[in-house]
Amino acid sequence: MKELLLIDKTVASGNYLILLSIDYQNFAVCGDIAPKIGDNMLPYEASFNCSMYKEVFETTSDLVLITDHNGIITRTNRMASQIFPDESTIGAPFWIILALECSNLNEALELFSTQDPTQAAKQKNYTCESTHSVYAINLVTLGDNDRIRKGFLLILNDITCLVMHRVALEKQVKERALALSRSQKMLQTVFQGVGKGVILVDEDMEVIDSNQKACEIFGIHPQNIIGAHICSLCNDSDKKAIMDMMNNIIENQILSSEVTGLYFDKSCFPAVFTVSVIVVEGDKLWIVIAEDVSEQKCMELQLKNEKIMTEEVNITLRNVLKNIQGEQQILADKLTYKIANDLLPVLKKIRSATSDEARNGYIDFMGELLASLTKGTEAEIDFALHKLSKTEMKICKFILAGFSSKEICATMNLAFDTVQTHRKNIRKKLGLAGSANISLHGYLINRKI
Amino acid sequence: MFDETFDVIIVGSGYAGLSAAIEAKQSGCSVLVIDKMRVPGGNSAISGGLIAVANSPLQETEGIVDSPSMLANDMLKAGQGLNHPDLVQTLAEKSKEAFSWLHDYLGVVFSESLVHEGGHSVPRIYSSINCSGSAIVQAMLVKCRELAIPIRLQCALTNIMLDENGRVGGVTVITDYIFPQKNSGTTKSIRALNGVVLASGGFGQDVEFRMANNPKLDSGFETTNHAGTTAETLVSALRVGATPIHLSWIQMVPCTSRDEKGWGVSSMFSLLVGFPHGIMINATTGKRFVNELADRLSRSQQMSAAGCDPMLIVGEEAAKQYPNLAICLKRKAVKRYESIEAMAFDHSINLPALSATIHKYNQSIDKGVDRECGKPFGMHRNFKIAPPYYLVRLRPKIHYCNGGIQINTSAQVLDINKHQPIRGFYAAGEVVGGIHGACRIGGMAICDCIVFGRIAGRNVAKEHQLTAVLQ
Repeated sequence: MKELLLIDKTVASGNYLILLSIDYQNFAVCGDIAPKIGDNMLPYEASFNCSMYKEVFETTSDLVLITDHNGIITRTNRMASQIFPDESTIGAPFWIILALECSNLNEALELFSTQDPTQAAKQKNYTCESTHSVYAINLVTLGDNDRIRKGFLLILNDITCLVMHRVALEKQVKERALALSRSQKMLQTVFQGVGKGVILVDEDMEVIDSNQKACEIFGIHPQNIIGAHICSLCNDSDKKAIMDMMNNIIENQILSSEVTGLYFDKSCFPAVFTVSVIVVEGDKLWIVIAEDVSEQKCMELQLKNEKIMTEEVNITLRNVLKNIQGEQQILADKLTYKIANDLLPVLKKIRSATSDEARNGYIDFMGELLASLTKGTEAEIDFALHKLSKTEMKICKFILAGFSSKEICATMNLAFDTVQTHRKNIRKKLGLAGSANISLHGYLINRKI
Repeated sequence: MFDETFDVIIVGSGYAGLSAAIEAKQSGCSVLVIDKMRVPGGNSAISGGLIAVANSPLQETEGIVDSPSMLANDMLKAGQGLNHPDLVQTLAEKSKEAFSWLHDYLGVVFSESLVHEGGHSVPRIYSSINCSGSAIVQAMLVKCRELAIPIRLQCALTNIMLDENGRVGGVTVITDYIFPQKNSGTTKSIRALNGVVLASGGFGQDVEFRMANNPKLDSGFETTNHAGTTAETLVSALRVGATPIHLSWIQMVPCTSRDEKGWGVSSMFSLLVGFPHGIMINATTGKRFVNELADRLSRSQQMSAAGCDPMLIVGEEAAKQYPNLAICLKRKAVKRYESIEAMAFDHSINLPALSATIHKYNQSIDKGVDRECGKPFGMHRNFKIAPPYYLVRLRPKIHYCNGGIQINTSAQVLDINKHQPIRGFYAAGEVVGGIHGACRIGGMAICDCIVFGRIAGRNVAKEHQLTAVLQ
């Protein structure tokens, strides 16, 4: 009486479990056991089970190959024989039939025992050339342990669907990854190419990322700016303003502040920080846009100076105009006076002259008088004013235009004391020293300068 | 022919270049520093800020006996005797002077305890107060500003120019250069009446050049260097006849982390507390495999041989000695574990083996001898490994080019044909080869840059008088 072994093997073949019944000398699957064992009678229960196994064996949608202990195929089920015709399959080693990358049984067994998941998945599949179906190969050793091997059971499970699905998924993932990397690249280009320093700051007020421009503005190496406190990029005096701005800002708000930036060599430059904030997964993230405004500041100063210059020119022109008007008035007054006092009396005398001689004399005199009308009208320039230097003259013009000493200082970029000294010298040169009751303004208003 | 004229042109704005610039300027020369990048400082600004000093004041206070010859011996031993002894001797003798210059003249602040880096026979390394070279570069840049030395950024060297007498008389550069766009900017030539100092650093990022010298170092390797460490300046020196030496000795640094890019923040953690006070284990075996204070070359080799990224484990008491620990934890480059089990689970370390390893190491500290790996104890305070644990996943990265062009002890570049100095041509820093041989020990790069940078600066300033005398 042979001992009957019932080996339970859980095989990944769809949802069912294949139970195999094996004896020590011979092996067969299910229903085959009875005829092969021949003379020895099998217990009733066993043959009952065998017929059940046979049914499972023949009806399973998996391909099942059975080999002897050398790996030579001895039997296939119905499904398998459709793919592997009996005449070329029975008697051949399974690794050749299944086109495994190995040349003997030991290598084949090694393939199935490998732990490397990527290797395993690749090599434990069989692709049928005619149907293009893909099968996962499961190898089960028959026998009670590895030392006493009875043979092998190979179950090929159709995973074509899974493989197709995976290929589709992989394609999708690839496409998504490509799209993601494209948008990441675009974002990176915007981040780097924006032309202003962009600094991202976390809740510890530490820089977590920055673009190259920001590094350039502050002269700090990209690796070193990360982790730096945002306030360390500015003068200490701006710390409070920056912290206030960052603490008080809310989402969708944009604040900006003029600060003194600190270059890596500790030199200062005027900068503008523009701050906004977003909340990412509950954490605040500040975006600080930093700009070196040295050039703008320089231009501003230039504009301011130009404005002052223009104003000065305006004042001068206004004064010139005033002088011309004054001169015209004087000329007109003089003419009126001369006409009334000189010309008209002579005309009277011409009219009432009794002799030609006398008349001619008056006419000659009249001629001289007329000629003299155009002479002697040069402005009676106050020669004292000629003694004044260029700067003093300029100051006089400002005084005349009603500027205070303080304003003169500011516009001429002079110290207050300097202006005061100039005023003192002007008074001296104009002979006003000591006469405190005459104001410079009052004096100058009556002079042509 | 020339667009501009200066007495001295210095290529590179790292430690060596700025040291040379300050010295040359103080000797009365007009100096121009050029750098191809957008920010000054190069690799120096992102280095660890460690400087080895033989016979330092702090060694005296701590009762550590040291001397320039001991330092020279350590350098030669790690360098496998490939180092040029005259350069080693100059460097060792002047390390203290370089330190005083940084500390007293430039006002750089250093931390008050000495570091014991691998390959040094005694603790002799000062660490800058912020554990970064940026503080030292900053002090140099401040001095350059005070001395009104122009530092022209985005200005790349293209050629070193020889005059009719075979003397270096100027350079051609690209101004408004946008790294790495080779066709950007405008070409200009600048005359250097006294000469040129090449202080342009190494070539760690130049995959083609480094693979030409060591084919194993392909693009798969990470590096601690900044993107601009390429070989074109070295090549332009070779074009005028400089002598290349030791180019294939490219150093991997063992203290870098696989969880950070480049040098990161955790390298200094590993360097300052991890290796001196912790253990490096193979995660698969849970065992130590090398003396954590061996020189960089042996450690990196053993780490590669281990076949996996090793782990560095240190106890809390030691970890807290590192001032930037919080930043490391924040960036997840250093991980903290309450228990040995949690740590082992998280990194699939063999737990019983790990427990045994830690226990054995702690016992070794008690005994004062490390029979397992030969780590030196007893030079400084030793910390046992006790919970909570701090762990770094290490991965060696390309760090430093030991090779470069050959100089003599006056920092003059030597001609490959005549073995004589090329007149008007000086070099200092990583672009120079032959000082460190097969392996540079920690803290020697900054020392080297400053010592030879200053020598180059002083000597290039004398060059004019020398020319006058010769004529």
